[in-house]
Amino acid sequence: MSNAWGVRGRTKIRPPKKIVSNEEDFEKLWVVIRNAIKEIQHKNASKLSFEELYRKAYNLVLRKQGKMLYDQVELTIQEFLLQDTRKELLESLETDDERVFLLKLNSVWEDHLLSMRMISDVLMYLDRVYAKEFHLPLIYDVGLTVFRDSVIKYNNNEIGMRVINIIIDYINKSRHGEIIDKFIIKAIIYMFSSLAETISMDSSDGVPYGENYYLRYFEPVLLRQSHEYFERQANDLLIQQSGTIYIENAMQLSQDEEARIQLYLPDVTSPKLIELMDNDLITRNMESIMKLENDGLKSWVNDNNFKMLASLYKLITRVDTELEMLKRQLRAIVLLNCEELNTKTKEELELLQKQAEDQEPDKKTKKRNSKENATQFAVRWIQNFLDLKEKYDLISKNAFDGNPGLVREIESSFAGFLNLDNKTAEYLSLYIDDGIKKSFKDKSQEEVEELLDKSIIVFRFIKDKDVFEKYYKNHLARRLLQQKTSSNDVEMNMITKLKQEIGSSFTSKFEGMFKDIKISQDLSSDFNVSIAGDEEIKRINGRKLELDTSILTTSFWPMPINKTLVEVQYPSELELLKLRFESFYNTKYSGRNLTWAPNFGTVDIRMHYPKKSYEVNMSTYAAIILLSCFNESSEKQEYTFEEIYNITRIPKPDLIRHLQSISVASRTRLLKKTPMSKDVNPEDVFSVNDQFKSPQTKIKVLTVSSGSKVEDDTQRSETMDAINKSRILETEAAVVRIMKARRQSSHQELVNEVIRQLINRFKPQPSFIKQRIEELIEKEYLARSEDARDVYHYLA
Amino acid sequence: MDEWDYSPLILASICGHENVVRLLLEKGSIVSRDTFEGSRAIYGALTDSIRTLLLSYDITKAVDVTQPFASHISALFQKPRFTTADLRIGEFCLNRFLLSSMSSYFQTTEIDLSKYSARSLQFLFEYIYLVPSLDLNAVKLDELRELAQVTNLTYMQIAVDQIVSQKTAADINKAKNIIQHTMYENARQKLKSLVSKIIDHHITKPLDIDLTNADKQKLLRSCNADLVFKVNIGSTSHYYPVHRAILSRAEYYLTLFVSGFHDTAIFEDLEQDGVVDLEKLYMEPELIPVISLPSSDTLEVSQETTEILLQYLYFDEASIPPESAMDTLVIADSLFLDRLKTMAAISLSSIDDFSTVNISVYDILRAAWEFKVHRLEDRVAHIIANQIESFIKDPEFKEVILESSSRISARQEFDTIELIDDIRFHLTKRYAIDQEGGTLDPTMTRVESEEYLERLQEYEHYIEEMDLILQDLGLNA
Repeated sequence: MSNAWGVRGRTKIRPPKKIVSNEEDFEKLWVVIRNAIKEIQHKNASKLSFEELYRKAYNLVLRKQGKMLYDQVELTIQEFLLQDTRKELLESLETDDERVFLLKLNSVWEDHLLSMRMISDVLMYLDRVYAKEFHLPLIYDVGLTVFRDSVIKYNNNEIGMRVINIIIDYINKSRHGEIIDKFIIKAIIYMFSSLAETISMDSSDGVPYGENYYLRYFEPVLLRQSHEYFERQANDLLIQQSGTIYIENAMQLSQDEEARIQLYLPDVTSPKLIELMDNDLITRNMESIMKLENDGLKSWVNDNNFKMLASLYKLITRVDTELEMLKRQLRAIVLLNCEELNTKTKEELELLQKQAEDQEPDKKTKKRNSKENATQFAVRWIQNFLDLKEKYDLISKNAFDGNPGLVREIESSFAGFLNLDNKTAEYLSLYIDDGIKKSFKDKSQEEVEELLDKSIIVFRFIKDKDVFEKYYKNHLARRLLQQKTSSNDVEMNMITKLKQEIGSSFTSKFEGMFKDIKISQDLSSDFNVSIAGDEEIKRINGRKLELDTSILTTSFWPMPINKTLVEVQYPSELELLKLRFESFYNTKYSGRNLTWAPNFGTVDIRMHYPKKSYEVNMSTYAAIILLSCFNESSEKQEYTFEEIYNITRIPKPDLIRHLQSISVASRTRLLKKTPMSKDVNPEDVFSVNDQFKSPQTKIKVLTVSSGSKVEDDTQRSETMDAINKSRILETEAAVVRIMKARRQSSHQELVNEVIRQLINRFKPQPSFIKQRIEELIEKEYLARSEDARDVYHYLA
Repeated sequence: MDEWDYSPLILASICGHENVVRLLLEKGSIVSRDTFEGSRAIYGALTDSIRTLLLSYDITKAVDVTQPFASHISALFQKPRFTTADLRIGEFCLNRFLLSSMSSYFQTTEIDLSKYSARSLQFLFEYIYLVPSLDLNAVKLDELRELAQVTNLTYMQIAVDQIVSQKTAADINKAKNIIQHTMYENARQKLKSLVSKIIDHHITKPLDIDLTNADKQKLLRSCNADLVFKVNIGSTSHYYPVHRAILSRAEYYLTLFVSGFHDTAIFEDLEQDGVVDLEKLYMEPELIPVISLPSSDTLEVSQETTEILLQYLYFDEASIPPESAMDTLVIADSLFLDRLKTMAAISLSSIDDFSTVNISVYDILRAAWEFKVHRLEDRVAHIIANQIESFIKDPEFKEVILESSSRISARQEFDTIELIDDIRFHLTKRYAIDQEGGTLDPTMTRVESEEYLERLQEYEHYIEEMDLILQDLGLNA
């Protein structure tokens, strides 16, 4: 090929021949192409030569006859569709059954597509050169448009609307369980989607770009029909007034519909139809379904019907991921359940009592007094609450997929209920008290741990932590002093849990109380050793005397120093011990004030009766009464109430209680009382009960009204007053602390900071803080700025 | 990519982080001069050493010319648009003409590679079909070496050894790039020989006298071909043995082959299990299809032009002498071979002296309009501007101005005439006229050199002359 590019003999380059177009030439070439198109449409293409046809079209385009060719091709395609295809279909509509008609339509359509592909292959040069230059649609697309206009939409959408109605009818049949030919539906819908309503980008007729026959004509009818269908279904189900039936059917309906959509509806319709269906089935009716009394949300919650609740949750998630309507209904039911706690607990207690009475009908004396009952109520109430909480935890976990929004809603409903008043704080403290004193004794370490953790759960709900602190301190103090704690480990464990929950400042006083008790024990044994050889004590008693003291730091403990107790007159033995201890303590810790609180202590006394000796444990007050008035060396055998009071100076209410415990209570009737009534009156006369008998040698005198009890309303309001006072102090302290650090602050900043510092204990109202600030201004801790009224200065 | 389409490689390159560039390249970042991203990285490179580094990884470095060719060959093996294979070896469907062009081993009728594993055969055929992966995973090297020896593919054996001897992944990639280049060049050489063979074996007959059956048989057998390609040249018809596999590079022929018309329908009957039974076709030569050029009614082609077309289709050769460029342009246009069309246009643009060729500037301009080659329109305007003094007097010049103006259908008064605009532009270039009119610094008085004023005068003269012609033609532009 060395010669290939060389200049050979023939060097003439000619421009392409100039071809002048004329009508005759066009006709000659066009006739061939037109006949070929007809042959293709009649499926006789296999005899045709591509080369020949292409060459003819190519030449026509080169001769600038593209427009004529283009227009004629369109007319030829149209002629066939209008005359042959359309007529054939109309005939089929008259004579064939619907499915045969649809199959025919589809096969006509597929033939048309195949024809168009072959036609546009042959006319490739027309597409690429003429249509491109004049921005016209490709021949293939022209074919689709002609099909749309000459077959489907011709004569006022004649065939189109018939087809739409048939398909919609099919879909409705399928919804009612009839088996239908889904492939033909899918095929026809695919055809409709292929028929574009807009070809060019600039749509002047207001049809959006990308619109097709399916979207414009089919989909609206489908959606309208579907809406009617689902609305009817929903109404039929509603009439049955059963949540279970409604939800199960709604689930089934939507599942079926989604399967149908998957099978033969295009992706664009899917979200629209699902939204419509969800609206008809769920959004509009679900709230009234949930409210159904016997077969609705409430009954499912009560029965722990996880399956229904899960279905409900799933359905509502479809329409609202925030689940607002479920939250609304759930909150109402949670609150209702909470309110039922009171009656439920009461009923349980009554039942228990009745059972106890039935079992031991004779022991009517065991009937608890009302205060004890109230304590039992509190303990059981907390237990019931915990059960309720656990129930909802299980529902959230098993039915609601642990949805955080719902969990929050339930928790906030609980919190709202528990903080309606301050009873919860007291009940919780009582619950723990009861546990530590009694019920934990026979439980394993794990069980105790679990119960403590549950207490913390309730604790978290309580907003005013300081109220709880108050009650807890009271109960703890009693436990410590009366040595009713079953285990110090459990106590410390509880305190540790509280500390982990909200920090050490909250528990420091509890820990201080423990420390006091510990130190006191060491101190007592030291003291007892020191008085072992004391002659004076020996002389008074002739027997061994010992003293256990509890030295309590006033600020840790809840009991106020009671000045009236100073007047109490101790019998000589105790007086001596008291003096000895005071001097012993002063040598150890100088400069501390000791105030005696005999109302808390107990005394062990050995008592000799003719037949038997007893070791009796009694309250210090009772011991004072016995030792002061009914001693061997006493002047009289009998004393009236007034006389006893004058000798002992024990505050009268206490005196009454303690006299009752040693003269009325049947088991510990150490004194005889005349008259033998239950109440103690000033004129009553007391004397030693010589006939005292008891099967045991060791006897414990139970003091009337000891132990932790639920408070009555007056006591509670007293407690709240005390808490209020401490809140005033805490708030003022916070204000001063902040102002001392900042020197100056605006009102709003100060209020915010105070709230921030105190929120772990209680939530102070801004108006409350404002009062405190004004109080402090009055006391000249703070002053208003002269420049701005809402700015304060700290005054050193 | 960030919001300005900067790839990590481009950023590293323009910021001068050579180590980052190296890391990215070694980890497989692609740099190709053919792509916008690739050229941005290369031309934006901060330092020469980075540019050198990038170029050493440039996958298009040498193969850009052959790329469309190579990917067409690969597609025949990997995802053929229609069946052209006529040979089955193991599970593979292959084109005998291609295999026997590449290696003498496949020219024999006794092909037996059944003892080799499918994996080795796959590597072999991928190599022959220019699939660029060169993947040696799970390949038994000894077996492959033996296979290369048996099939006389020494190049492949060397390639395998080269890849194996590389140590780092980066070096392997580099070696593969070089090997690919060699593969392509080698294949083009082999196919060039095939085209020589086709041309050598072609048969010439008096105009439109059909081939005898024996002629057809002989013709196709000579090159393992499956088609006869007929071109009328002057008073003779020329018949070439050709291959559908190669002709389908042209969209026109691809459509012809797949569209279901009568022309090549015979192959549907001959096909079985993905392979066409060519022997059967050779036995019934009256069925052998004969195809030609779509432009055969309107264009008299030369043998040279025919050969240019075959060379382009078979091995991507496209150096077109100006004498053949016009015909090539028309043929390329009718077959939708855009690249060949561009090359023809480049060839036409290179004509400087029209006295040596038998074609006028106007002919080229009209062809440019006809076949929509803007490059040529501009070229013509340039030529006219440079010789405006002679064209301005030429009556045919007026004619083409009229033609140019009529190219805009529904002309408005304010529409410009493209040709005039282009000529005006090139005149300003020719006379180096400062269109902005003045310096940027107003304090400087512009000193016009005498020479410049002379140029300006001349320029304005021709502009005026052209306006007169337009007035004469009743045009406003």
